[in-house]
Amino acid sequence: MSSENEQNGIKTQSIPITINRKKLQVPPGETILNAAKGAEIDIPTLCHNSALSPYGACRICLVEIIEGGKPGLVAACHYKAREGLVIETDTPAVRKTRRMMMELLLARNPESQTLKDLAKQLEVSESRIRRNEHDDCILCGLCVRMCRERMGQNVLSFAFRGDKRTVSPAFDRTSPVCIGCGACEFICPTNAIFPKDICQKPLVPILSDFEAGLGKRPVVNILYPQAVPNVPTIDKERCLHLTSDACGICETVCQAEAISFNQKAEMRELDVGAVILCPGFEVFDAAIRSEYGFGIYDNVVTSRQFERILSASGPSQGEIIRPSDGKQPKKIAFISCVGSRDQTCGNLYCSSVCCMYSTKEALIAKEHQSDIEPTIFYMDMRAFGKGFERYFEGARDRHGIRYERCLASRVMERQRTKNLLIRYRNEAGRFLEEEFDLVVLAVGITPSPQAKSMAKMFGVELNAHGFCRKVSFSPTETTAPGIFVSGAFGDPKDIPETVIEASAAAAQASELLASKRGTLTTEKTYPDENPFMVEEPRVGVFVCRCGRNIGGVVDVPAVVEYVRDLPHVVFADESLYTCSQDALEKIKSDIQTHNLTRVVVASCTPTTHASLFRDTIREAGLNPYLFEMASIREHVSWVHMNQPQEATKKAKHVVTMAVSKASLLQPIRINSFDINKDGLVLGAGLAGMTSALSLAEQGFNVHLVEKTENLGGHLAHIRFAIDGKDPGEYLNSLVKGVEENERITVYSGTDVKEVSGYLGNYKSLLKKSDEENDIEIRHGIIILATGAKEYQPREYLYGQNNMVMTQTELEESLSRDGGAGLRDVVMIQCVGSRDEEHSYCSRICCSQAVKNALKIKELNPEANVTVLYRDIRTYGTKEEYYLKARKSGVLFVRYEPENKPVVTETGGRLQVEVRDLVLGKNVRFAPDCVVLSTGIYGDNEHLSQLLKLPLTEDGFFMEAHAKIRPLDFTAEGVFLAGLAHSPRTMEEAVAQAKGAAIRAVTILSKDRILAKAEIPVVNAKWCSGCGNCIAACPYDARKINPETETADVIEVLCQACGACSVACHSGVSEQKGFEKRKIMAQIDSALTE
Amino acid sequence: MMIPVKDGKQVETLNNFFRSILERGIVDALLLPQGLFENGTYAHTLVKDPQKITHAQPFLPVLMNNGGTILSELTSGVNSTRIGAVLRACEIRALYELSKFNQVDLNNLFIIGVDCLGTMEPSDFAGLVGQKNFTAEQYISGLIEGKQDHIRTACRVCPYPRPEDADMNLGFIGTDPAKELFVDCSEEIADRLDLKKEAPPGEMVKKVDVIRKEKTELLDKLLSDMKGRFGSVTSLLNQFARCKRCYNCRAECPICFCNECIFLTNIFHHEPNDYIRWAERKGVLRMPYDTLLFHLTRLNHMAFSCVGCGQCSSACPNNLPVFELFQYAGKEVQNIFNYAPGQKTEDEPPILTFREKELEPL
Repeated sequence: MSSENEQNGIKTQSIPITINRKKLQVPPGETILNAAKGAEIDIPTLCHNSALSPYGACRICLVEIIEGGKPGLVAACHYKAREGLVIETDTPAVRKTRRMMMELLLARNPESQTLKDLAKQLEVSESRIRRNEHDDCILCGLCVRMCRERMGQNVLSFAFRGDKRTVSPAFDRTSPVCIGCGACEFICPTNAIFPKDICQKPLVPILSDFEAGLGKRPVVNILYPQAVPNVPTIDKERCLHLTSDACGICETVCQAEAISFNQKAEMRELDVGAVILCPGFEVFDAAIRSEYGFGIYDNVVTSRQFERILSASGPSQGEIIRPSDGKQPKKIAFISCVGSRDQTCGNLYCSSVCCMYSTKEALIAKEHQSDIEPTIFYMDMRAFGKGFERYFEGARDRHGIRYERCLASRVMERQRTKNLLIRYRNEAGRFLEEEFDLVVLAVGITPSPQAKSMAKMFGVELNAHGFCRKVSFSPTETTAPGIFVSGAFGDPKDIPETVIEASAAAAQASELLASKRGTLTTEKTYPDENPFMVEEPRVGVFVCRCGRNIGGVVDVPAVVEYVRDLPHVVFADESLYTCSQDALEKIKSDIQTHNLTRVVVASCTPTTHASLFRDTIREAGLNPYLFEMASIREHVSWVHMNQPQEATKKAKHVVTMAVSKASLLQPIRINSFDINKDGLVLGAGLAGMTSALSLAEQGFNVHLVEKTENLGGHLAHIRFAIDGKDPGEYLNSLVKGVEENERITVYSGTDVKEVSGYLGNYKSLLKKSDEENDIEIRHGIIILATGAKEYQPREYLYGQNNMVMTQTELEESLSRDGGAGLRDVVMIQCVGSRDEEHSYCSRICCSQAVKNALKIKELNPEANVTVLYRDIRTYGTKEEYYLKARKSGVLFVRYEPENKPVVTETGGRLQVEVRDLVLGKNVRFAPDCVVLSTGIYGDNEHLSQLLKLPLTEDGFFMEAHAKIRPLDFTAEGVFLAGLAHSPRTMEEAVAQAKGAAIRAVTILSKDRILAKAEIPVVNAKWCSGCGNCIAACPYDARKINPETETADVIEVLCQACGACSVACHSGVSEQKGFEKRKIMAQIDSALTE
Repeated sequence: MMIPVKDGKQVETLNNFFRSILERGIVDALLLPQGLFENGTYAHTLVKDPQKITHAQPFLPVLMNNGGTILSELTSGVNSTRIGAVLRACEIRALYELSKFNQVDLNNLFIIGVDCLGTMEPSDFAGLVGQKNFTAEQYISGLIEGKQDHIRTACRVCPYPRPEDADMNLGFIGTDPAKELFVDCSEEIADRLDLKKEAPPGEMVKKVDVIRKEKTELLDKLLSDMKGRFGSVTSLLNQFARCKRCYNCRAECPICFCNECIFLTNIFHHEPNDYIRWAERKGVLRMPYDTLLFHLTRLNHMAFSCVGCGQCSSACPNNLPVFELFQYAGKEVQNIFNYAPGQKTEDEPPILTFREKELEPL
């Protein structure tokens, strides 16, 4: 009897059929295969593909007609349903014939994994039929149909008859029609077809940008593993559907129906008050330096390519192999400054990062394979970043990385071995040739062409190098008002500086738009919580198929069936994508319909999806913590892809564990805390004042505390900037700005005596030197900008001869009397830096020396200036001043730390003697004046103890993460700027100061701070106060209550990591939501069969 | 410096000595073992009045409670009284270990360490005291000569005859205890007691070293004998088959400081249904449940810090090798973390610290 269904207003007929004694209603003309699939009846297939027309070649999908048609075996893939048809899919005849077919197929290609898997499924262990040595092809016709139906090409067809039958292009010759799309190779189940045998044109793989051209990628792909959003894109230039209307297979196979070919680029207009440009940079094209042979010799790769070669997710899975022969290289050369510091290609700047990444790559290579011998050819080792000098020295002295100071002049390939000869001139002036297995070119940073056009569009000026021009002393401000810049578009820089500038640019935008903060946000509202949710648990379980991700391996209906019988489960269902909008709506309605009070979702991972589902159940009136997630994708289907039965069993266990925990869940209510909206800035140097001003501009009151009587710190001693701008003028405007700002209260001559409290609510006692009583202030955050000190030299006759002075003193004298009488000046670098006592680089002294040398030359072009140095570290665009200094006749003479210059005095006359490494001889100077480039050191011991903040080995404050959280401390609420962090230039300090300000505003701009939900609770009655929890807590969120001598939780600081609960011997500290009973219940149910 | 024992009356000499410590205000109160009872054993007494020092017996070859635990009781909370404590090495070591877990406040404590060559179980001691010809002094002389009768296993292998890290040491090893006793302390304290500070005689140092060396060898031998006995879950189950789960070992362990043991909380309180279900799953269930888990958990919590006082074994009604297990496992993990428990150092116990590569030796 047929019935009528109304669908979309159109009446469609459906007919009754019976498969495996199951009565079904299917549309007329539906294939048996599809009808069975709809009824969850599994029929094996091989030559079937839902994107292609049915063909019936393989006969694996045979089923038996019992009634309603001619009794016998038919192929389910193309036999159409007719009224009253009765089908059996698993009769002895079906099984026997399928197995016979399988043996026949296996005889053609016993090695094919697809066939082997299918044979296992059909319980065929081997074929009794003689192997057909002639062809691996099983003649399933998938490639033929693919080419004709989807690619619209008709290149492939069957030729000949009988046992000579084969698939080939016309006349068995390579085809001029073939477009080389590779679809035939893709669809072939037995790896029996190769486009190179078919296509007349050369095949050109699409190279992956992310793999730096070392790997291939498909047209539809996710750009790189960390892409945000992490979804695939279609390369519209290469997509056959978009270019020729063919294919479209992705649309057919996507079960979520997420493919749309109709998306068009659209123009949208946005009203904004500020713009931040951060278009990044482009890697220098190594082929421009053709003498290194990149693109010509196989074994010359760029550093970016080598980064991929090293990566576990890279083209060789982290195994270090060279492109020419896939063998492991032993000797690897890194050539630095490719496209940096290079007049021949017009890049006069230093890329700032290559020295360190070369060192890093060399170290990682050695970590992977300890017998690798890396050599780094470099000009100056620019390890100027925080902690970098130690890293470099460790690489050189402890890990056997060889450093060769030179500019390699040429790379040549040995024809037979494809090894590479590097020709270079060592420091002693000898020309050498050395053979390497692999050469890595440390390519520099260049401005991107898109950034240039973007600059034009926004009316932003570029500097001579093509990077964004910035306002003096304001590293994130462009020449166009309201438009800011951050990152390598400004100039080449490393990760921490990029992150810092991103914050600084945000701070500038926020200063501009402070009055509009929050005007575009709307708050989400939720219904009142269901008052019955604390009563007996009624668990609802939602099992996700995640398309084929889970459903293709795990028997989802079986899991649902199993779960229904578990204690407390009142509802269980499955969905294709539980995170899709319709599925979420269904969860909400199921909660209402079935009075669910606990929800379990069995799908992917809580890391990405728990918050979504929590929010969903909250929308349905449940406390969000009455939710539990079971990972049956990451923990089950992905790792047990080839064991579907075991995977299903494990999925049942994993869901059972979640259910047993869920039934014990209780609502968690989150505490929130008031925030004091005032800020405390410690130190009123350049960084401190900048932070204070930024906070004030963003609408917050600031207490600015300075130990000395004067504002300005070291800035007060800087007389001129390297770019000729006047720091004094800037200082005056800054001081004026601070003093006139109503929101800033300045406490000069004041020390911090005590700081108590925490994030959002601090109380500090200030002690003014001339006042008896302490001042008590309250504030929500702290910005630490307490600076650092200048090294006071004890060496080189400093303090004994007046004409031995520091750079600061020289600057003072130059600005006072124009350096009158200075004819011969010798500068000595690295005084109090890069030595045993200070094993770090002070970063700014090279630029300072170059700046002052240029100044002397400007005042008196006849003067002789000699700089004795170890490495010149004028990174970034400061390199141009180094070049300028050399051009204007400043002499640079290198010395080794083992042979430091010797300064002597005879008859009031200074003499400097140093070993010149190029001449190989000692040279003597008789200067009027010796200038010492003194380093910077941190004097933070006291503050570190007062604020309980960690210091690095070098005595500077230690940020939460060197790269990605450079302005924060692990303890929330305190931020870091200026020299207290590490030595840096004025511009860098300003960027840090502004960045720290906006980091603080992320807290101050909130009305209340929310504690985390799943924090520990202490059963104080049983606590012995042993302090294990305090030792375990990385966030300073545990302390002993001095009155009760038991442990407390500072909720606002707690990040709910659970370490303290693990550390507690007696189970007194228990994590909400992870109480031991719940964990025990989970473990227990995991062990239950 | 030596103090003479007049007429062989050791107790009298000691009484006078400890009285002077109280009277001269070196401490405000004194925790002192006194032999107050007829059967000859001692009890820790907390003395305020010097005249109540009548039976000072710090050397008796028997161990009652571990003084570390008593001091934990005395010094938790605000303690402004300067307490002196007369303790053996195992007690002092427990004390220092407890201080690392905030269970003892070392401020205001004055530790007087006494020599100890071994102790016996109180019941054995009581039995011997009843016998004719037995005197504790003679027995100790025997110990100095190397006799080991009745000595507890823990003491037999204890390499700490003379305490380290005490504020004052009171000893008899290397002297004739019937004639003189040796006192070692700072010059300042010596002055206040009208004593003259002297270094211990070379012979005495040698004697202590010899004993320490012998006992270390005995300990090493014991530990190597243990290797096969605790190697697997099965061997552990067999070793602890006699455990009645009375928790005596936990009650007596000076390091087991939790106010409430996790085994008494509801975490280990199971529903009747749970037992039935587990029995169903395994077919058979050992009752009482969680017995081995109890020992393993205690091992996990305490082995780092085990000072080897042997109170656990003394407390066990079934003579289980608890001390042996804890020493064996303890030494293994202590070696990995390069940690020696019971010392007055700033070294944090491994359980309080985390280093990324700490488990690499495994």
